[in-house]
Amino acid sequence: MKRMEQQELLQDAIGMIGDDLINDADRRPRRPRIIRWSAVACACLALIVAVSVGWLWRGDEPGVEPPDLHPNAYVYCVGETCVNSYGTILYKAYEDGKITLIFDKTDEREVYWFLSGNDIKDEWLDGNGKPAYYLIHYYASNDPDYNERGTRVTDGLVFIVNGEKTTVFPTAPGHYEIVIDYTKLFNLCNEMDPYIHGSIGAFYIGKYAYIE
Amino acid sequence: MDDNTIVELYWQRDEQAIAATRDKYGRYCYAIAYGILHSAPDAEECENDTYLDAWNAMPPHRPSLLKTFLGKITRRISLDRLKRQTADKRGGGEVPLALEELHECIPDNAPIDEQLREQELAQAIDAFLRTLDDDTRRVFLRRYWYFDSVKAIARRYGFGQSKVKMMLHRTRESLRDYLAKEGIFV
Repeated sequence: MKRMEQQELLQDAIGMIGDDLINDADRRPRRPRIIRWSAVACACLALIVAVSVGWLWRGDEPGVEPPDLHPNAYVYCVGETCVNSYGTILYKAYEDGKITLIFDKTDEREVYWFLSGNDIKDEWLDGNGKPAYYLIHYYASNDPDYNERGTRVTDGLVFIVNGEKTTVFPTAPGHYEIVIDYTKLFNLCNEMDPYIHGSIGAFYIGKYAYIE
Repeated sequence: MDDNTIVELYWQRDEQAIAATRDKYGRYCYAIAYGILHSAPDAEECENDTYLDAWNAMPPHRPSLLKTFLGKITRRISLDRLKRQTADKRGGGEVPLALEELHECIPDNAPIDEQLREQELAQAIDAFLRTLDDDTRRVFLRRYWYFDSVKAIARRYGFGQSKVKMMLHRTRESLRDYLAKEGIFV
């Protein structure tokens, strides 16, 4: 039997396993563990729920896969400051679909960002009459080379840099107040995910090994 | 509409069965197809083909769990379509990667018994999966049944990607050992 035939036999056999196992694997996780973890790390945890905003700092590494919810990431909340080689960033404010940052940028390198959220579907009942779920991932990024599974939101994201609307993130060193309006992305998740109501966005800033 | 009612509509050859299935499980089927094919039009076609297959299967079949019955149909149809699309050249996406990973479950130089029926292997894998803890089993199935990417699995369960990769690697090794122990790869 050829290698590919062996692989396909395994694949097909996995396709025939018990319905209960398949259904169980499709159940919505009770709550992402990052949130439980962040409860320890962050006092405002109670407000952080299923959708969070990822904020990723990267160097000259286009195409490098963002680390996503890395276990060593720290969740910065409103009022907290992060210092890294790009400068200092204060997480000033949050409201649904908007975050405000004060960014003292000391480096000329371009900042790549991504925003992401999950729409957790719970629109039907399974054969046992229990709610059934699956996740649809939405994301946005200023990196054209950045691709991941899910639906990319390519419009509707607005930056307000020092009071002026723009579509690009500043690269030159300077002092910036940056409002990131991602209402469209937020609404894609919010309108179908009851867990989002009353949430606060959090941004994850690298304590990722490859960032610096 | 509850599943029993929908199944009954199929048995009565009532075309409302299709609409009810689409309303309740259309997104589920679409998500499975899209996860395999990464093409919205193809996923829609597979979703529609699923309804046709379900229509042809009921009667005589009366699934105990309609959702996974449909999901299995969608998965099979989508994989068949992917195979046709990539007959000359293996395409991208998660399926070829997952297939390569699955090969680790086969010991070196130990060809699968040609006569082994798929059903026997499925039963062995099913039994193996039931020996795993919940997280490990779910991660394995998200990867090899739903063909989620490692990143998507990590996000879904709040794990780091390295942890997911390690879990998958260890599970594949365990599965290989289990199948060998069961005399399937000898």
